[in-house]
Amino acid sequence: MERQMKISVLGLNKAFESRARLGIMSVLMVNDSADFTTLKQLLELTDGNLASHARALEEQGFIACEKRFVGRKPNTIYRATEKGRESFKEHLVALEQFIKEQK
Amino acid sequence: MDNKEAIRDIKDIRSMMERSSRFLSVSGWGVAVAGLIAILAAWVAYSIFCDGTLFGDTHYLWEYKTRVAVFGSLVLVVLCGTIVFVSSVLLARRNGVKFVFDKTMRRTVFNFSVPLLAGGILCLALVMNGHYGLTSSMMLIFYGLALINCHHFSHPVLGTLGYLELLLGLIDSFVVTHALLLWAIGFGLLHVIFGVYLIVVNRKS
Repeated sequence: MERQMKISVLGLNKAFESRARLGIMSVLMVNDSADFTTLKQLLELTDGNLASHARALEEQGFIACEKRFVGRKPNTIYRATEKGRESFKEHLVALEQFIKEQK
Repeated sequence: MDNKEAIRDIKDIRSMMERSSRFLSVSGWGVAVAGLIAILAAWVAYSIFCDGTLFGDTHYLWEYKTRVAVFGSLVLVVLCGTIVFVSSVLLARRNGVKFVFDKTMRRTVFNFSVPLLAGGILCLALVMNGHYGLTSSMMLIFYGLALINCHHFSHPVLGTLGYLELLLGLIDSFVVTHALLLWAIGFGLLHVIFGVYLIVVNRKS
């Protein structure tokens, strides 16, 4: 029992602990890609906030970003990487486990 | 992290996944009002065509009446569509969501429109060739298929409504005499019921 607890706590990924990062990953799990504006509106974040959280996830290799121009406006498109998907799934399993054990 | 936090995280993840992949701003009020208009229209049509089998009688004014009916229904479709659209914009604004023509909405509209347009064109062809008998069931069937086709991208309950419309349409294709009644149930009554259901659901969230 004790051993199991430790494993599940380890399974919770620090990288997903912030609300914003959890949100970004959730959106990118069910959509092939999402652009900066869509993410900003969905998660109700400011430009700077979203940019910094997205950069953090990108540095960990969980998401990939691609900068494009629509007309003259820059537009960034985000995608979850294979590594990001796997890690997020593991995080979800750990969350589930955590809730079960607390009951 | 404690248990409550973990549960809240899971809830957040679920709602984010749902909100970003489904177009949920469908206004119950708009749908219910559209249903009422359809019932009213069916009643007006009944009083014009007297015997209730919409295109069935061989009255001397028949061709004129048919034109009025076809034109009237086109106006109605546009009117109801506009009402549902405008009320959905208002609903989104009330919920503080920006009503933009985003990916979820594009997908919903596209998947809804394809069967509906095909059905509409087919009905037009039927009317132009004088096959009036099956138009009402065709309308119900194709409308049902349109709803079934788009419900994965929008409110799940649209699927239930779609299957009911489909069933009514198929019944209608066998029952010749009560076309207008079945039409009024499908486009009127069902919309009022589902409109009220959506109002309740939207209020809860």
